[in-house]
Parts: sequence; C-alpha cells; structure tokens
Amino acid sequence: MWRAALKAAIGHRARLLISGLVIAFSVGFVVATLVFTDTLSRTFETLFQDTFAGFDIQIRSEVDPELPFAIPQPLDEDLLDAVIAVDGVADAQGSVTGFLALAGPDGTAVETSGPPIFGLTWPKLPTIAAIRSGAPPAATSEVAIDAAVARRMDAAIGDTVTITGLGGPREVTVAGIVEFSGAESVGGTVSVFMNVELARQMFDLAGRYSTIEVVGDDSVPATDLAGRLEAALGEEFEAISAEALARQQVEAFTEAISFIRTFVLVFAGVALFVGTFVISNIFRVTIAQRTRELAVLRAIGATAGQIRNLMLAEALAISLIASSVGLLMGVGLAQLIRLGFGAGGLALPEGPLRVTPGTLLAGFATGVGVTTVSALVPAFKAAAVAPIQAMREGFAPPARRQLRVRTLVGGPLTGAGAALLGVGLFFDLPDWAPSAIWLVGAGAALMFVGLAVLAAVIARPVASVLGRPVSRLSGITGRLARGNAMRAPRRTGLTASALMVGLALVSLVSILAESARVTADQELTARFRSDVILAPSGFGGLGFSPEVARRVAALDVVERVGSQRQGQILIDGDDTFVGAGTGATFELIGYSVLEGDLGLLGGDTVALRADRAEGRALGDMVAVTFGATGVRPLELVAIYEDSPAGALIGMDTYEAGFVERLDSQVLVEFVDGVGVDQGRAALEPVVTEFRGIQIQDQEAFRDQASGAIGTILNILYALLAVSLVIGTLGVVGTLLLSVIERTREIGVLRAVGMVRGQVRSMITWEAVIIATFGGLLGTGIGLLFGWSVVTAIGDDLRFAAPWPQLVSWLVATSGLGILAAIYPARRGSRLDVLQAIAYE
Amino acid sequence: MSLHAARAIGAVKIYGSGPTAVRALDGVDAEFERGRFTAIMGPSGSGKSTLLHCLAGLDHLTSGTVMLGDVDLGTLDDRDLTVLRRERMGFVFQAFNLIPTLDALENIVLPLSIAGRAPDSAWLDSVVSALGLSDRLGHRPSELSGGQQQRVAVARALVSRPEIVFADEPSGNLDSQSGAQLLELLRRAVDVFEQTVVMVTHDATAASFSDRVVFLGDGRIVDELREPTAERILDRIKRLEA
Repeated sequence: MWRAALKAAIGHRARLLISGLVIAFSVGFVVATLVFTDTLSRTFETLFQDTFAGFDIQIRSEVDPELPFAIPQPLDEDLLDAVIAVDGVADAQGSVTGFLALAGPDGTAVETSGPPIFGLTWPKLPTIAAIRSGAPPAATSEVAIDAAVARRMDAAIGDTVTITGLGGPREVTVAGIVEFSGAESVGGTVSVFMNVELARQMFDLAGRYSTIEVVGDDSVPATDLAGRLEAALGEEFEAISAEALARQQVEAFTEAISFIRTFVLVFAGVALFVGTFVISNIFRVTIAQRTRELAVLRAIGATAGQIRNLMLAEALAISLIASSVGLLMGVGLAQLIRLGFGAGGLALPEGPLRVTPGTLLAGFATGVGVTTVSALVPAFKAAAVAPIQAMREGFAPPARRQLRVRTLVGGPLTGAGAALLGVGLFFDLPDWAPSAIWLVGAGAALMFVGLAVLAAVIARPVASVLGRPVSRLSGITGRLARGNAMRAPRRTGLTASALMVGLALVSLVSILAESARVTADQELTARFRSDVILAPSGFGGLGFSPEVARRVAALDVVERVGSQRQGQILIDGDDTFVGAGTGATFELIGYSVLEGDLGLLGGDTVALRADRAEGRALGDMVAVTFGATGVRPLELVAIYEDSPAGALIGMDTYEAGFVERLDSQVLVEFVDGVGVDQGRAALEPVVTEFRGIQIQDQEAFRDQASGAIGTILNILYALLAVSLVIGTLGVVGTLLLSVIERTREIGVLRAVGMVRGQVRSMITWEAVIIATFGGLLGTGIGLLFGWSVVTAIGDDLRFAAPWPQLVSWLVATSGLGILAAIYPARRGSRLDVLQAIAYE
Repeated sequence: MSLHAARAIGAVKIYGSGPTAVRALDGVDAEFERGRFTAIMGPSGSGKSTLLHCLAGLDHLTSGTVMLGDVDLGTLDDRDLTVLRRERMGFVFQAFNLIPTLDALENIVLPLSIAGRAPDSAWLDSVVSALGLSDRLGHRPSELSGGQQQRVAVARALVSRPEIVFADEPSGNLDSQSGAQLLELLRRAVDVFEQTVVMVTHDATAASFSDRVVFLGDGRIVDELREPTAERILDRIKRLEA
C-alpha cells in the first residue's frame, strides 16, 4: 500500500509539484514567523547580556514597571560614595548616558532607523567594550566611537566629528575606535563614548549620574547585595542585578515587537487558509484522474477503507517532502522579512538566524496537518468510487441537489460570519468576551468559508455573464471556455474563492490606506497652521536639541515657535501617547477642541482625547502616572478629538514628569509678509549647523507621511502576494483537472479541425473567467470589509476607495488567470489526438 | 482532379521498435473512389483503425504515402493537417462525438465555427432535415438519445461539404434499430449528396450498406468485395479465416 502511494505520488509530477509548492508555502510562512521572532528574541538576549556583562548590580532611580522605557531621573553624584560604603561592594562607577545626534567628518549626519545613537561615559569597570585602535576618551574634546559607525562615516583617529546633545552642536576629535568582544557594534546601535565631564555637558547633568554600576566582592550573592543596597540608599532607588536587568529589557523589547509576530502570523494564517482550498482541489484532481485505477483496485478486492488510506498515505508522503522544502523556504523568508523591515525603516539588530526544534516540529505539524485536513474529503470521495466505474466511461454530471445543500450551508455560515464581524466592529464588548480583533478575524474567516461555499451556487450565472463578452470576442473558443467554466460550478467556485481571499485582503488594505491618506490630507489642510515644521530627518530620529527652537525663535523672520515633545504615560492603567507643548504649539497644530481650552494647559492640568475622556467632565482630576516621577493628579481642562495623542500636557508639566528633553517637532510661523521660501532661507543656517533636521512645508510633511505609509503598504502587499500566488496555483490545478476530464472532448475538437492555438486560447479564456470571478468576489468583499472597518473606527477616519487601484488589482487578477493557464493550455494543446479519442 | 478521393500507397506503420515492434500496416495500397461508400473490415489487430487514422491525418505513416486528392499528407505539419481536416474531411466516431456544453446546432456547425466561417444556410437546412434533426437543434447532447447524438455527428461531418467523411464504427454503440437508421442515412448521403464515405467496421450488416468492402488482415489488404450483402460478407470472412 505504501509503495503504491509513493509510486502514485511520483507518477503525477505536475500535480505533485503544485500541491507540494502550496504546502511548502504554507509551512514556509509559519516557519518564517517562528524563526524570525525567535531570532529577534535571541538577539536581544545576547545584546542585553553583553551590555550588562561588566557589572553585578545597577542602581538607578525608580521607574514605574508599567513604563519600562521611561528614562529614570538622574542620581546625585554624592550617591556614589554612599554606594561604595555599603558592605559587600568591591567597586562602583557612575555613568552618564543620553541620546545624541552625530555628524561625520564631512558634515553628513548619521541617520538611524531604529536603534538610536547613544552617548555614554567610557566605563571604568571592565566590559565587553574594548579599544580596537587609538585610546579611550580622556579630554572633553575627545570621543571614542564604535567601529561600525566609524566605517559608516569614514572617520579615522584624529578626525573631527560633530555631536549634539541638549545644547548646541560641538566639534570633537575621534580619540579611539571601539569594538565589543570583536563585534563592530552592539546589535546595530551606535555608541559614542566620552569622559564624564563631556557627557554631563552634553546632557545637562552637572553633578549627576544617570546610573551607578556596582561590582560585588563575592562575599554575598548579587541578589542579597541588591537588597542590602536598596535598604541602605532608600525607597526612591532601585538596585537590580545585571541578570534581572537583561531579562527585564528582553521582556520589554519582546513585548514591544510582539506586534511583528502577530502581524506575520496573521499572514501565515491567511496563506494556510487559502492553501487548504487549493490542496483540497488538487486532491480532487487526483481522484478524477484515477477514478478508473481506483475502480480497478476496488474490483480486484481492495476495500473502501484501503482506498481511503491509500489516498491519505499519498497525502502524507507529499506533505512530508513538501514540509521539508517549506522549512528551508521559511528560513530564507525569515531573512527576507528582516531585510524588508530594514528597508522599510525599522532596522532590527543583526545576528545568526535561530531555528529551534519547536520550530521544526511546528513546521511539520502545519504541513502534515493542513494536507491531511485538505485530503480528508477527497479521500472519502475516492473510497466511494464504485468498482463498476472501472467498466464505465465518462463522468457523471454534477448533481443539482448538492448546490441546494451548499446554499443551506453557505448562507448561514456567511450570515454568522457577518454577524461576528459586525459585533466585533460596532459594539462595545464586555470584559469577559474575546477581544474585538479576534471576533473580527473569526468573522472574516467564517464569511470567507461561507462565501467559498456559496461561490459554487453563483458560479454558473456569474460565469455565464462574464463569458458572454468573451464568446463575442473570440467566437467558438470563448463560447467553449464559457461553457467549461459553467460546467463544474463547485470547482469554479472553490478555485475563485482561493483568489477571492487574497484579493479581498489586498483591496481592504488599499482602502484602509486610501482612507487614512484622504483623512490625513483633509486634516492637514485644516490643521497645518504653521508655515513650516522642523523635524528630525530619517525615519527613526528621536528628536533634536531644544537649543534649535531657541535659536529659531531669535530670528527676525520668525513670529512664533511651538516646540513639541512626546512620551508615554499611564491613565487608568492604560499606556497613553502624550504630546506636550506651549500655547503656541497647540495653536499652530490646530486641534479640534470639543470642550474647554487648550490655552489653559500647563502646571497641574491635562487635556484628553474624547475617547479617553469618556465618563469625565471638565474640572475632574485625572491621576496620571509618569514613568520616572510617579503619579500626579492633573485637572482636566479640555477635551479634543482627531489626534494620535491620547493626552496633551503643558511643556512645564512635561519637564516635571519626564527626564527626556528632546523636541520631536518645532512648528514655525513667519512674520506677516515673509513667504515660505524667504523664511526657509533664514532657517537654513541653523538647520545646517545642527544637522539631521529637515524643514518641511505642508507638502513635504504630507509626502513624508504618505511615504511612511507607502513602505508599510509595500510590505503588506508583498505578504498578501503569497496568498495570490497560492490562489493562482489553485487555478492551475483546476485547469489541469479540467483538461484531464475533457481529454476526449479536446480530442474531438482537434479531430474536427481545432488548431493548437485555439485549444490554448480556449483554456486560457476559461482561466480568465474563473480568475475574474474570484477577483470580482474579492473586490466586493474587500469593499465591504473596508467600509465596515472604516465605519467602525468612526469619526477619525473617512471612507475613501482608491478606484483606479482597485480596478488595476482586479485586472491584474484576471491577468493571473492567463499566467495560470500557461501550463495547462500547453498540456491541453499537445494532447495526442489519437489517444484522446481511443476507446479501449 | 484526381479520380480518387483518397489513396494509400505502400503504407507501412510500425509501432515500437526492436523485437517488440508491431507492423500495424504492412504495405497497404488502396484507393477510395469519389462519391462511393467504402467499408474497411478485418479482425481486431488487422490494422483497419490504423489505416483510417493515417488516411485522416491523425497518425503518421512509418513509410509510404497517403494522398487526399492531390495533397500528400506526409508533407504537412500539425497546423496544416488540422486545417485540412476541418476544410476537407468529416468525422464520425464510435462515441463521445459531441461537445456537451454546446447544443445540437452548435455541435453541427462546430468545424465552421472553429474556422471562423458562417454556414451555408440552405445546405445546413437540407442536411438537418435529411437527418431528421430539425426539432432537436436547441437540445444539449445530454438531452438527446444515442441515435440522435450520432445523427448530429453525421450532420457535423457533412456540414462543411468535405471531400471525404471518415466513420469509425459509427453504429458500434447503438442498438440495432438506431444503428441501421444511421447507416441508412450515411448511404443516403452518398446517394443523394454524392458524398465520399470511408467506414471502419467489424459488423457485416453495417458493411453491407457500402458499395465496396476492403478486407484487412495482419496489416495487408487480403480481399475486396463489390456490391456486398451481409451474407456474402460473412461468407468471405469465413473463407478468409479458414
């Protein structure tokens, strides 16, 4: 039996290849997700273990554990003596750390996308950082830089580079090049080392340290020493072992990037989902192709169970081989995803790919599982082949009854899916219910399955309508193609559905993107009240020195300047993005205020976005948690809508709550009579001096915003393309089945005078009709989903459909039909006429 | 114009090679006259189907020549052969003759549709009425009886006024009454429309509708009979087997 299965699998190369590819794709996606996220976690682990390798315990001001990325308040330098005095401490160092802007010897700013540029003191305690060439920074005019950035800037020992912290830019000399246990950088971050004096000047920390690192004398374990230090220093300080610190940071980073895992897994799910359709269809091909062979087996005494097991064994054999290929593909894909994120502006730390036994197991489980599930129904159908069919020719016409069953099954499934989707999108859910995103996902999946079932019901009329222009256009070949597409409505429906899923998601994504773009455009026009905005150049820039705003404000052409800063706070335990500014900032950004007055912000006040303000009234006190400084009650003075910031606070409130001092944006208004070009020219010298800052007018700002969306869109499209590829392979399978079933018919057509080109054209048109059917379904569903999601999001987003784009997706999908037809059409046109019409 | 509609000259067809090679046709010389009904008979494996397939350009000879009128089929490529088939030949097979997605009329005019030509409506009418299909034209093959299906196939073979119609056991899948009716129609096509028909059969009754029977055995022509009746044919077969 097993040998028969293996031989059968090898005997049908095309089918083997297609089903194998589909399985491999599905497995590849899952494996890629796991490898990618495992690798990322491992890289972070290594990164932080390395970073904290030189000491046992770090002491810092307490930070709210819910806001792990908050920068702790600086420590007074006297604390260092107190630390050294604690029993069990062998040695300790005070460190000063902050974010820098850096420009190379040629004046070009180093633009980072992701990991920031750290300015830090050269460690006194031994670490993995070592001087590769030159010397550690000794004077306030010297720095040491990591080897990677030195190469990037083309900087050598003795060259002059420019660093900017919280003050103005400062030229310093490169005294040393640093490596980390031989590596050129720590996981892609940029490190600029300096002496304590310079660091304090850069970060405005006279007489202070950012953190203190401790090495124990080994008389007590690190955890005991940490406890002893906390007891000695007081409540407001934390002493954390290096090990715990690394673990904490890894967890925080892993959580911060967990969206990537979810994101890729969603696409893996889509690929699996579509794959199941296609694999199932391909196994139906097998049975059609081998009805006689199976019937002969039955006639000579094989039981129905044996036939079923034979089919399942074959599925298993294919899935094992394909899964192995999929594993390799997955590893490659993981690398591609990493590169993709890098190209998209989110550079992730480098390191070897990590493939765990769990990943291997998951890959095989996926491949074997999906294949077996897909092969189950076809296997039972195969078992139902009657021995008499060995003697009989031809195929029974599809029974109408099954279409009625399909309506009865597909209708309620689609309805239930729509209901779930609606509940997830439009209703506030109680706490015990699954989260909205799961409801929406499950609803969408149910709808897809339901529609796939229903597609068979509407396949006949739709193919008939779509085929009409085709038969007008290309005569008898089109007429035959139309008839063939209509003949097997279940197959046509199933095949079209596989394409439907991919296209629905592509359409949904483009609609969401277009809606976001149109909404942003409209708001920008209404809101962009300043003449220009200064923003960090590069995607991941954190911000720039507040000195820039001070210098700009002093210029003659400038009427008003509004600085903006940002951060994370907790309100009612929820992570909230907060924006801070002065009165000028809020006027120049132009928020749409529902109640109260943003001009009142400052001191103990806060403004909340409408959704965050629910259940509160003006004058209420809101308990706001700042990561570094703890809880502070603020009075609600305004409620606004339509902004990414969930809360707004005055600049003085920000400075009291946060340690960060970088401006994320500076809005500039010129005095009356000064044009944008003239004003720009006046700003140019300041911007050039500080480097890494761009001046954006309204248009440039919009372009940058849509550019960022564009990159993300391209990643999404690339991932969705995989499901379209799988759908296309499904069309190939269906056409092959169609050709196999109609061997005799094609033989007759050839005998009575159809040339090969006409046979090819007939099969190609059939493919185009099926693909267009799937495309129309997908576009329709995509529009429906898109509208639902946009409506559910509410006032913040206005529905807009990119019609030309949607039409071109649809046309492209029809084009996929042509692509899919290449091989089956070739095969159909090359049929041996004599064999096709032979009787025995 | 050549006297013969089709001719085979020294036709040899060998399947396979080496010790397993089979000589399906072993030097066949045969002529098929215009406006006549010729039957090719012979036991299984005698090469009668191979001969028909080679005459129709569906299969290639190993050596020798097949002429359709003045055209040497061996000089044509697949495309030219296909066009030749649709312009100058008609086919009736044992079964599976019709395209199930097309109705009877569409099946009848199929060779013309494939060529992109409009049918001659007067001729189409006379063929359709001669075959008794006038009230069946809108039906799909699945809605027709076996006899009706074969009559549609005959109409299709006649509609392009081919020089020659090849029929391969056309009554083989029909009950005796429908079979006789079909052969009668082929006979009338020869008598009324002066159609040339070449038919392969192993059934003496079917062959008795022809003007001339050619007997094949082991890839050679072994005998020939003019003005056949079923008795004379059976008689001749017995003699050949003896």
